[in-house]
Amino acid sequence: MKKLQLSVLLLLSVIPLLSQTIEVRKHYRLLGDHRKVFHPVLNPTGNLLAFTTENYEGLDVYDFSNRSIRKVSDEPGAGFQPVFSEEGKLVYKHTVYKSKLKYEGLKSYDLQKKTIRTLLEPQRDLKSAQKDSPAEKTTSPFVWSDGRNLNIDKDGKTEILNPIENANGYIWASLSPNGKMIVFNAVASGTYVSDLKGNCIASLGYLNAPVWYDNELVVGMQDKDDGYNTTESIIVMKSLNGKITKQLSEPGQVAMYPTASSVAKKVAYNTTDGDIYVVELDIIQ
Amino acid sequence: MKTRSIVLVWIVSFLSCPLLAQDLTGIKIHINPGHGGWDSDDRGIATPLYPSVGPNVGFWESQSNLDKGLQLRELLEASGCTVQMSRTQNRTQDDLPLSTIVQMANEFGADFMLSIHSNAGAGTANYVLMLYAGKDIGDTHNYPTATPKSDESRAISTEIAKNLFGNQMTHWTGAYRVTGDKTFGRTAMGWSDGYGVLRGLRVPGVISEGAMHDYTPETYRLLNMEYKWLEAWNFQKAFCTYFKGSEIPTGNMAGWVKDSRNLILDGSYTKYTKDVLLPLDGATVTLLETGETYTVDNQRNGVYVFKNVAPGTYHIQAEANGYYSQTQEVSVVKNQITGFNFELNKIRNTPPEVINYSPKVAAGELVECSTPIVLEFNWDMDEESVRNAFSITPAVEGKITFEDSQFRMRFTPDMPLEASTLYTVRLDKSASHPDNQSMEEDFIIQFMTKSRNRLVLLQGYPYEGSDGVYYKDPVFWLIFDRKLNTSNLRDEIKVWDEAGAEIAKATRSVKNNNVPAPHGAFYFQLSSALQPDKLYKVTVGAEVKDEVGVKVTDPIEIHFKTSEVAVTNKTVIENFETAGKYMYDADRSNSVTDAAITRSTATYLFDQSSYQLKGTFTADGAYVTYKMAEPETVVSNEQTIGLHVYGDMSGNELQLLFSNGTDAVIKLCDLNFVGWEFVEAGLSSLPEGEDFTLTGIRVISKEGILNKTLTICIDNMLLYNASTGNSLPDTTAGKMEIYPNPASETIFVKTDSDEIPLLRLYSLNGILWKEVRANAIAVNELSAGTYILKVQIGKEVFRKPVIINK
Repeated sequence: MKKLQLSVLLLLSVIPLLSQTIEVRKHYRLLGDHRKVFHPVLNPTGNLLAFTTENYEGLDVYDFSNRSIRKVSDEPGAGFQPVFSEEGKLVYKHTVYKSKLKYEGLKSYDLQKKTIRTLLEPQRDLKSAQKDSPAEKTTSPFVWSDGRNLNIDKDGKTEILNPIENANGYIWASLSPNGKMIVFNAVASGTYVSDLKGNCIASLGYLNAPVWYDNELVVGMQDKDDGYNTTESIIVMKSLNGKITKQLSEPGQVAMYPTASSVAKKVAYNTTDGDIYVVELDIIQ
Repeated sequence: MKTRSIVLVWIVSFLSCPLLAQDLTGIKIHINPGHGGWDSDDRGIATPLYPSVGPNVGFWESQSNLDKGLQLRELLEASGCTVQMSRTQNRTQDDLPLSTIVQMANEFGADFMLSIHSNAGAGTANYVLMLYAGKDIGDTHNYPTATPKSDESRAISTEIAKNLFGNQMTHWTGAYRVTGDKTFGRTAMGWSDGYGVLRGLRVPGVISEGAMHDYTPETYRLLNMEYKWLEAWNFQKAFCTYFKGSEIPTGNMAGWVKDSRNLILDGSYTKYTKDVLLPLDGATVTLLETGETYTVDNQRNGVYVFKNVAPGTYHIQAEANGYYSQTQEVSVVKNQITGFNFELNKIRNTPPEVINYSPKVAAGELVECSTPIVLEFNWDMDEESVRNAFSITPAVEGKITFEDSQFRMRFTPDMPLEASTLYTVRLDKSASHPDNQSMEEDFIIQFMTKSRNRLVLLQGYPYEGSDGVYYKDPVFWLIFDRKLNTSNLRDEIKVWDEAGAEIAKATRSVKNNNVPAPHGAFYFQLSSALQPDKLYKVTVGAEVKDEVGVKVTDPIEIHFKTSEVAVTNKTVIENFETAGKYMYDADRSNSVTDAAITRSTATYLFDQSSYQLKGTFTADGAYVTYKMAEPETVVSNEQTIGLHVYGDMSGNELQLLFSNGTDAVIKLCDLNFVGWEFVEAGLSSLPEGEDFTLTGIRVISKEGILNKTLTICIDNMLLYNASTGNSLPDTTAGKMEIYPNPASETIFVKTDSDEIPLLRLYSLNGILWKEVRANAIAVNELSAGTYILKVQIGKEVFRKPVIINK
């Protein structure tokens, strides 16, 4: 936390000063069928949305332009943190078990050609779709968390960051669209934003599963449970400077795992009942 | 020489066993040690050493789970395993959201996720429960979401369950259970889709409920760090078996040290089998071959553990201050926990003696007939020798029991002691303790009992044979000769229907001892209406007792019949719906205060109100009169007046007042009931051929327990030409002879049974006048009238109306 205090001034240099209001223009359920779908992921332009099952088995893509769904994979683990690349690919993992141990491989789905190419054969300790797909690089540097460490790959070197002293692990880490900031959750501490050196520049408080909307706004969930099951959860958009906090999900929903695209001004999330909702925003500067 | 050979065997076996930790290199395990913090949902439990819980004080499931998790991490990392823990501290902020725990395991890419917990079983249950991610084999329910790797989760969970169930230091109340979280969540918890910590997981996982932490002996064991280590070791063993099909090359020795016969004295919590024995805090257990010593902690669990012992034959010795030491040969086997529980014998080095006793009374002081005989000793005694040494004169049948770990002997007579009797209690000096030392001299006490040895039911409603009990809302009120001990009244006094089904009481209606001292009472109503015109009974159990423990002893049955009570097919001459029709007549009342007659909308039988009559009698012969404001009802001696009365069981007499220039009085009823009844009086005693006008109502104070206070209600008064009629049932016909009837001196009872019957004689208003256990009952001292004779033979009770002439 000391780093946070020392680095607050950096906020001014990294984050534009905000003066904007956010309005929900449209709020709708995406898929009308009875499938239970979870963990939506929007592509950067917001015209495609990948989704999976609660346990990440299989991967489908919804196309907003023609309201069609295409099956990408039925494989276990395919829906865990898939990545839309800049080259029009959807990179995803798949899980197999050998001798009772988990192995993960990497595949690439060409969104235009609708073809699948194996990038990596199943192996132990695959890090992330971005990190381990050198042939499908989408941007640089790479940032990923592995439940324990917060990692950054830049200039061909992997560095472990530790922005929060005595943190018992890092999860839900991602790089900002401008490539200058990292949002992450420090276990038992909260969600923060740091620069690429691990200097904290913003504290977002209790905000799980955070994702970037743009370089100024982060969307996450504020979930509560009774120790047995999740009982309440709302989707919240927060600004890095702390001036904006906006609930995006509807009252009464147990809304989780958001995804966002500032290009399309969309946020999507799933409910614990397995429905995906889309929120379209008006952001007035 | 002997010691040298033992050491040699141990060295050989030690060297023959490779002491390498099991290799789990490359395997990734996520450990979630359950909830974190010291908050209300973290299951804090006070213990004898920590009577109030607080952070790090007392038992906490949150800390217990963490202790197991941290020790498991150490074991697994020593085996080459890669481990991630969702928390390593026990702070409120470590009470992580379920989503965070799941995400940690998923990002970590664990091969298995273990969520460590203990369970709660209302303080009485203790068993292993594995809730694995998935559903049971054979569960065909269609869940909203699937769970991958259900078979793998079940396989590891079963290994864990088998290992934990092998714990020989605890008592399991049932077999281990391995079940899918979705199946269990649906069937046991009413959830649609399993447990949150397993939902969204993309690796096999389980919630391990290793034991019940609210089974108090287990609570104490879970305060021992090595006991928790054993659970962690069992997890490690399961991983070795599942992932590598291999065994841990070392074994462990574990067990407890307890007194061989002294019991845990503190607390009344549930204890099973050997969990009742007193753990010996501070005892030491030594592994003789290595010299390693374990000191039992002070948490009242007796636990000792030797970890990672090379397979072989060992000798372990347990010692404790004041106890004979014990040495035991044990075989340590690889991959196993060898269990041996020590039960040490206390050193008793002086003769036993009685150090306290009961009854202990001053000269001339009398003892209640319910008093148990209790002897306390300086040592825990040998039960058989004490039983053989005990005697009481005159002889009394009873039971000898031992308490306080055999430090106290109690003799409980089967029946109350005889009244006004001198008893001599002797404990022969042959009584001994387990070290075979006997008392140095006999112990003798004498005492005289009081003149009363039964709790007597003096009056009750319903009374035996009553047949006008209001079926919709009957009221029960039993009055005894002494104030009652209320601890068991609800269980011992019950209402039954003809089929033998108990009718539940309305809990909130129960009133205890709501009569003036020294009497006692039990008052209640029922939770539901009875059926009209049906037979029921009230039973008063033998264990109903007064404040000094004198019991009813002989169970009582009171039979009664329900009635519609509300009569609607006769002419109503007053409905008591309008206020002011009757008023208190002070000129024609005597020795009464607070008298009033008012319209009551709280208690009524018809329409919206009744009249309530109140007053307090201050002297014998008191009475109160309530006159009609405008007398208008004219009657003749051919007619009958009926009235619905809510009685107060005072025993007082309710009268009707008439006048045609000459006053006349006719008794309507004795107020020997409580609740609504219909009572009627024929007017035949009025002069024939004359008309009389009803002028009022009078209540005369009679002898009785509740006679000083008047509180009754009256509703719809009827006038008609014929009585509705009543009769008392005779249940003795064909079963016994009761003669003479009528009688003036003695009534004899002849039965076919060898048992001497218990005879009780009741007046019609339910008052018990006389009780004897004999084949005859003297009635010469009773006044003339009709009585009910109850004959009890064994558990059967018969009754017959009898007439006493003078």
